Amino acid sequence: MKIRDILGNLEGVTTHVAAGEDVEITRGFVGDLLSFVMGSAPEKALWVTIQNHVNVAAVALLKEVPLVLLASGRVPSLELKDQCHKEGIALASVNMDSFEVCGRLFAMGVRN
Amino acid sequence: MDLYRMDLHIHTVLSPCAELDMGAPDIISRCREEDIDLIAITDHNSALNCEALNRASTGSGVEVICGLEVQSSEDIHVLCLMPDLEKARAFEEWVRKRLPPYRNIPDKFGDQFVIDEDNHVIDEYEILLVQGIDATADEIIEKTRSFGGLSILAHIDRPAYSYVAVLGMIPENLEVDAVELSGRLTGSEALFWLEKAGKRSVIRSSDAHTLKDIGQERTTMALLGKPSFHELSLALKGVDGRKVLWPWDRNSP
Repeated sequence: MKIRDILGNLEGVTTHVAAGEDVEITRGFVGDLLSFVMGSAPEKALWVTIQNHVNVAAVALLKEVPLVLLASGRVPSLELKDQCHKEGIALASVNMDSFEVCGRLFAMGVRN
Repeated sequence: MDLYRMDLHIHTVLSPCAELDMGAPDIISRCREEDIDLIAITDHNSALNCEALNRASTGSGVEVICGLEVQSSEDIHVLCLMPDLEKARAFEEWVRKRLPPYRNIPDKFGDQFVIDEDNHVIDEYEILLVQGIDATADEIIEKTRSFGGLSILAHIDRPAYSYVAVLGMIPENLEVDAVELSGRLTGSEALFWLEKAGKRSVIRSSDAHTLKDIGQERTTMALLGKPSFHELSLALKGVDGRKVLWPWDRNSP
């Protein structure tokens, strides 16, 4: 599924950095501990998290994450927004919590 | 005994996030300008630049403690101060074995320079140092103690990489020697955090990543026999008349 379609199919989305809207995503991951995500996330997966520290961009870069979804309406720090913009990583906030976002994504066919 | 000024959280050019002005003689002369007597060098997950700082400090009046800012598996930062260079090296070995194998990308994350006392680059550290190691914060604290070191929970007031932010509270029986509050807090904000520290000593430090971060308003005064690791350990325990003074002015907000 394309990033554009994923974001279009979720309600309550605020896009902070639009990037790679035609990139196809098939995998997803959820986690807030950066070390854990770095060690466990598959590559090229979208990432659902409530962590809004600038280092989210660094981990996303290492794991080739094309899209970061900040759940529970978390707002990114300015530094995170800038860094995602610089690295071409799509960044959006969703009002739903992580559990619900993952449920919706699973229903759309995104798998771990 | 006398009052000494200390800053126990300073990065060098080894930390990828530090600026390149954080060289060995540069840090020492900046500390002299600010009348800082005792500092700890605490790069992320490494003590490789401690020797350079130690040598650069010779005859300067600035005393250097070797340390590391270790990142736990839960992304908690713990300052681990070691009694001497030999212990620091052994402890660092323990940390290194638990560091995940991801390599640094200097263009993206910054350079990781190992330097000598004249800022000559001896080596570039290849593995990314800003990663959580395969040990919990509690394990790191226990291991630090077993090496005769002192552990300090770093910047507990910050929203990221702090024990309180990640785990909610500091258990009463956690054998940590002190907690650190950010230099950027106001006096009343600091008093709010004092409660979370329990009965432990509270220090204020710079967490300097660039020279201008180092300054008196981001230091802590302590009553010590002389500026040294041993005297610091007594002060953090509050024994033999040694103690750490509350870093903020009690009369101003």
